[in-house]
Amino acid sequence: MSTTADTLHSEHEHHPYGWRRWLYSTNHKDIGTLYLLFALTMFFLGGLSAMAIRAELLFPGLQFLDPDLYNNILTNHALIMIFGAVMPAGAGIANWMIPLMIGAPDMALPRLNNLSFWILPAAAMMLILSFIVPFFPGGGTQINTGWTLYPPLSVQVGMSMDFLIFAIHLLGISSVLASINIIVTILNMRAPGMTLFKMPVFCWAWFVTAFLLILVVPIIAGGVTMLLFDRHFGTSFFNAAGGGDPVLFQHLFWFFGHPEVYILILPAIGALAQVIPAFSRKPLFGYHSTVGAMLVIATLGMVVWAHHQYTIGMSFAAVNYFMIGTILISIPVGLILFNFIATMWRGAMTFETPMLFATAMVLLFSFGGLTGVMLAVIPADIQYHDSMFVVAHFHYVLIPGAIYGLFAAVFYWLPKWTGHMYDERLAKIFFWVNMISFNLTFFVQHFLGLAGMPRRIIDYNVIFAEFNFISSVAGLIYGLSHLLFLYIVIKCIRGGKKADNKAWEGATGLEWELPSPPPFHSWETAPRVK
Amino acid sequence: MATPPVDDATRRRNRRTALLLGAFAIVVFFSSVPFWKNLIQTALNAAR
Amino acid sequence: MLARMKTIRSLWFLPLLLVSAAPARAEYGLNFPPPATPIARDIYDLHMLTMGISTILLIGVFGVVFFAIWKFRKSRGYQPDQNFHKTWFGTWSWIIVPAMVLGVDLTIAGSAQKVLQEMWIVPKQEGMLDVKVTGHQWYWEYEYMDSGIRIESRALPEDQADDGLYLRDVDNRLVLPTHRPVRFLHTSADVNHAMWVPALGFKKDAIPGYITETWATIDTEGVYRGQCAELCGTWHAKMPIVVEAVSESEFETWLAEAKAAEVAAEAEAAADIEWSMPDLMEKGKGLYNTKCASCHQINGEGLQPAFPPLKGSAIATGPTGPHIDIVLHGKPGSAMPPWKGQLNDLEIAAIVTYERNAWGNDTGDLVQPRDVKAAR
Repeated sequence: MSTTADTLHSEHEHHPYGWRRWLYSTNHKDIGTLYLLFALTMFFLGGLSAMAIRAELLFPGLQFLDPDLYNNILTNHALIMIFGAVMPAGAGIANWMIPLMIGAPDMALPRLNNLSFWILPAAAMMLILSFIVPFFPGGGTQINTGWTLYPPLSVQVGMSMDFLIFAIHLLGISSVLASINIIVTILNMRAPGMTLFKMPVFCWAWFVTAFLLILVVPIIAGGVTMLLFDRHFGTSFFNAAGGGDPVLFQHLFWFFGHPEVYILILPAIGALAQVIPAFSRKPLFGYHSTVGAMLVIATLGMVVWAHHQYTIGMSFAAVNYFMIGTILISIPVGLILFNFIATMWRGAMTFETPMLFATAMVLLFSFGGLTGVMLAVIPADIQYHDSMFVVAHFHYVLIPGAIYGLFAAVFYWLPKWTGHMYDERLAKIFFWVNMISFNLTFFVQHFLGLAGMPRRIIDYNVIFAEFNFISSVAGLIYGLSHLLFLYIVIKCIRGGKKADNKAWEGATGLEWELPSPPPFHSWETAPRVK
Repeated sequence: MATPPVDDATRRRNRRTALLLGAFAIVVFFSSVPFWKNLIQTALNAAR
Repeated sequence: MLARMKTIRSLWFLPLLLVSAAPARAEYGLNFPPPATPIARDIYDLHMLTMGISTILLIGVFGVVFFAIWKFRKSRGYQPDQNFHKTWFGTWSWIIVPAMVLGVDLTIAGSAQKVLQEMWIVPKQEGMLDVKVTGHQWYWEYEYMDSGIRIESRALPEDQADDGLYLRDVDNRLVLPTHRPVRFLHTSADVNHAMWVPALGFKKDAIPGYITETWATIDTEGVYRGQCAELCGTWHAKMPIVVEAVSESEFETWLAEAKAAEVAAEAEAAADIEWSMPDLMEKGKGLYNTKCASCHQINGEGLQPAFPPLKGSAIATGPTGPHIDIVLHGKPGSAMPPWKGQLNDLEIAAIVTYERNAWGNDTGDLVQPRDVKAAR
């Protein structure tokens, strides 16, 4: 053992500097930082397209986009936010925190880690190209399908769709590799005494998420491959005229697409399970039931996909099954939210920014979850389906559920990552502006949907004008508020009050025993966990 | 390159687990075409 | 039931109206439009029930969390209860909470069963009116299966639509009788569309190669508006659906008139007469502006790159043969559909003549219905 340690010691002395440090990096913290910076960049790109959508919808009539460009931007917003911003942000935090939290020196497969990150910029390039090639001569038509890419519409689109298919393949490979790495790290690299059921819930959340990714990402890869074959190689997987089935693609897409929602949300829930106990100054209420509920969510989430397709004309028995299955998901989700509230109960709470975001997530995610139950009820869903009500619902799920969870995690661990405390006053201003404008933006969209405004339309009748106006104005404020977030993060990286090893009074866990920022190889000698 | 201080046995174990998971992902990918299609269609036909 | 729900509804939206401080206007849509079928009314009640349950639960969650925020905070000197998760409540909550949620879930799922079954299983009875609804990029085609009457329904441009109804108004309405079950058969000629008229309580996808069914018995006369609900490409926003529900006798009258008009049009097209340029141009202009202009534009300049221009194009200024051919059979792999099933010889002759002589294309070619007939 000692000889291995000696040779290894000389090995980790010469880590590269400059651009080589990043390009050749095998260090989980550097790669985590890269992931987070990448996600932040894409978050602003996706935000820009959201601003374009809201600006277009400010008034009835065509303002400054044409319908194809509008549909293009709409597709772009969803894909960039999901694949470019939220998933890499989650992966970045996982990279940074999992080795620290389980007492490992690094991720299990550092070179694979490098690969899975550096596929991403290439994939992002493809993704962005797919939106801009139509503007070059001979570039074909724009992608006007929405992120769901339903054929036959997606077969009509020009070569930009091929770029997109390739981008999805690359993104899929990247996240499957990252998931493999996370699973192996969690299985093999835990410190002595760190049993699976002593592991922080954040690690559990990622463990479950990584399995979900490996199970569903290859399915969408299969789906878009068939789409590619239909477009270019004369197959008829989805072409009814050739004996294929256009609905098959919808099944394959949502078999991936529904678990994808949990892929986005579970890491955020895991982060909340760290943040809420820290600022309530007492242990998480119901550790085992939280972990169990996450496993149940993952399992149930895999078998209810067709609730996105109630209108395709399935049999009564099939839709009834999907309805009941979907409603049952409220049980594990409700249990997790209950555990969070019970953790706050009889605690000694303080409300630093991570806790503000965590509380907002508990409340607003409950709201989004409840409209989710309403949507699961088929007769009513037949009215909500593909209307602005759905848009409001999933933004209430994904913004509080995924993005507020990520904000809570970022503010909670920023001192650990940078070694500096962030500007608490500015961060609180950011929270309030962000949270209020978010609610104004999306709350009114429920009414638009109920009154009959379909989603994904560029122009609308005057009866929808007032709420769209409110939504757009608030939406522009909501978008701009993120510039403040950028400023806070840059300010924190550049300096600030020095952070202690344990940056928060109530924080528990191995990551707070290391210096802030932690040494190059996080845990050179594994800690002993009682 | 600066790889972490990990002993050879763990490295081997890591590689084995990763290959296993990778193989699993590839199986899932190829299963998506015939397998899931059949599963979904059988289920829906049965329910019809 | 409905009256009570309306009271609840107005209370439920009160906070929002106060917050937005906007003048309350009648056409503010806050909830479903008034339902016009028994099932749509059941759906409305179910929607209000689930929304009510959700609201109560949400108020509960907010109440508990805000109480906790107020009471259990460090600044008030509250000492955390480190053993709260080890009390009997902590030990058993994992089973108590799911059991309670399951109760709510079953209430909701149970109350949905009856109306789900009723709306989902289309009755197979005599005397139903069958209407085949075909989605096209970007208009609807309705076919009354029993009488063979076919109508196309397109959005009216802004200057022709009724006041305040732009994007909700069409040239030809779908006329339906009240108090008679109507079976809708949905399909599509190109990409997926979805027919959605909120007042009728259904939404169904139109999928090429599939025929999906829905049904409705309208019991209130009136005009009901809806829109296409499945993203179908460029002009997804311009596919309104307007249903006009009239009494059975008015419906029969309308049907007879429509039939007579159709017979007259067919006779005109079949008549072997030589059409003059001004007549064909005038007919062609009207047809072009409704059927072709959404892609190729009124000015014939198209929308690049998806929709090529006709003004000065090789097809519209070259020989007539390929021009008639592309209108009849469409262009595979592009958005150009075949029109041979939808337009008669006279209509196609008029459109082709118009395209060859409008916007400075002045070829002087005059295409007669018999040329089209020969090319079919």
